Amino acid sequence: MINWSALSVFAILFAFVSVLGFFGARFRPGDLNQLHEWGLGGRRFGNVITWFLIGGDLYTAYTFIAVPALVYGQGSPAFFTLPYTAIAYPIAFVFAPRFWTIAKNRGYITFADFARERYDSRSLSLVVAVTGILTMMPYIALQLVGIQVVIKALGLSGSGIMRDVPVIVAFVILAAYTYRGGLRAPALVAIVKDALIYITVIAAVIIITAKLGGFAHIFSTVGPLLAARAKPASLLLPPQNYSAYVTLALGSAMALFMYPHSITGVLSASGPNVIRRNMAALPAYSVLLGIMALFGYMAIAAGVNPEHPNDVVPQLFLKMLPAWFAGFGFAAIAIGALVPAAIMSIAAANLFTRNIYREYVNPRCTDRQESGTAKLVSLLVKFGALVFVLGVPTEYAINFQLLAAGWILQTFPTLIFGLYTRWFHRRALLIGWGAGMVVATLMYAGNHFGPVYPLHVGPLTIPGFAALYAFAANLIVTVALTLAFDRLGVSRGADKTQPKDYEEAAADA
Amino acid sequence: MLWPPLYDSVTPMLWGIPFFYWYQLSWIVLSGVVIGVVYALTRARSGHD
Repeated sequence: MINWSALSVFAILFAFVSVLGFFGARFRPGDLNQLHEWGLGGRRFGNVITWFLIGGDLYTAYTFIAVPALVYGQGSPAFFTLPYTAIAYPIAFVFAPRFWTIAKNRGYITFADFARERYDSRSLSLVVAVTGILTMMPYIALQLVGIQVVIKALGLSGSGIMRDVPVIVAFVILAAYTYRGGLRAPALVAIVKDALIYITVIAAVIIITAKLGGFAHIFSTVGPLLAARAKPASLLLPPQNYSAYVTLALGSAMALFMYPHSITGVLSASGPNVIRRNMAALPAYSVLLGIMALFGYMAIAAGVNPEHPNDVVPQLFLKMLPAWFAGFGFAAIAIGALVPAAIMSIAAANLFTRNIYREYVNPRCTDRQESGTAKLVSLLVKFGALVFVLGVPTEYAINFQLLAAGWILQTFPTLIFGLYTRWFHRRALLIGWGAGMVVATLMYAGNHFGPVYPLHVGPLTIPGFAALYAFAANLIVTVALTLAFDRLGVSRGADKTQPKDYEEAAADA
Repeated sequence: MLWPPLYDSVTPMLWGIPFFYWYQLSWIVLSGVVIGVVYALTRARSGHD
């Protein structure tokens, strides 16, 4: 049963954005046969574009669907996203400009490029690249899942292949304009996407809260409803959840800018000060996300009963907003999937092209071959994600992404410590990474892919974020082996970076 | 932020929102403001424009 008013608004906005994407190549033109032009927009995005790009990149459709769904399902523990984002930006404020500078001065496109030169280690660079690529794949798949959820809410659910047509159409459009324009395409689309999201969320929160009788009423209704569930939940955080809450916030904050798509967004800025100003301004999106999280509670108060938690936001919109505005909101979310999916595929392509293709397959490739490979890889990555989404139950995509989140944190020592010191030995970092990966994988696999692992320390059981526990293991191994290898005289290789490469140019960016 | 016992309570409420929630939301805003201030101060010190 198709919701025509919602669908028509949705279709118009979606078509508009698709056309816009195709004009992306002309935006601040550059030679798209060069990888840094295609893959990093030529490092030319100023304050405003960067804000839209990184905002659109980090706050994905899946985020907007999954966070309220988690709140609906779990109550207070799901709100770790608030302290998580409050911590993430200060961390990035400190290190991201420094990374931008070294990347600009030495021509890096990826974090793995940095690992290669700083530590003179191809293997370290390879593991960073592979980890990064692996994390992008499920994340892209989940964006397509976000589109599916919205399509379903529009009433376009057929069966078999008919059901999949909208997602395939979305994918084809996305693939086409990304292929041509590279990072410029999602940058342009991000402006529209973010504008739509802000309008939707601000208007929706005002309307829905008013309809539900104000915040006080919402909270007073939700509390008892949560407590009355088969698996009781609460508005306040139960003390036994404290360690999980804190470790989830800290670990996620540390991992956020390790993701290739975050790095790509950062590196496309035109200067380190653009990044600093954005770290001050990007928290605005987090406030938005906080409000969206509250939608989970509003859904409970409004009596929304979705068949699957991911349907919470769409069902809430359909129930509480005029149909055309629901369509508007759905378009915002669907477009909100395209921007990060595009950037993620570009980020994965950058990693593969620079750190696998150029490193191992064709070291003397021309610019054209390099950018051509990247374009092809980004297409393949998106295609792979599409096949995954259509063929594999959503459950697996979600679990894979959770695991990947645990993995990406293991690259933190190599990259972040490497920006400031060479104390850590390259072989130690490599083995430490391996240890972290193994611990993370074992913990997730042993816990049905729940991110919070109950660690048994003697008589105590401390539930904590598995990724952070794995990081701790990683760090311990890395430190111990650094000391051991130095004692044994294992070669450290030569640092190809110079101190002056880390210094910012005197002219303000 | 990393010490939940400090803010895990319903009161004081702001516009009907329990403390646990508006406290964390305000920290997000605060982090942006603090970063902005640090940025402005460090630029002044290093003599950029």
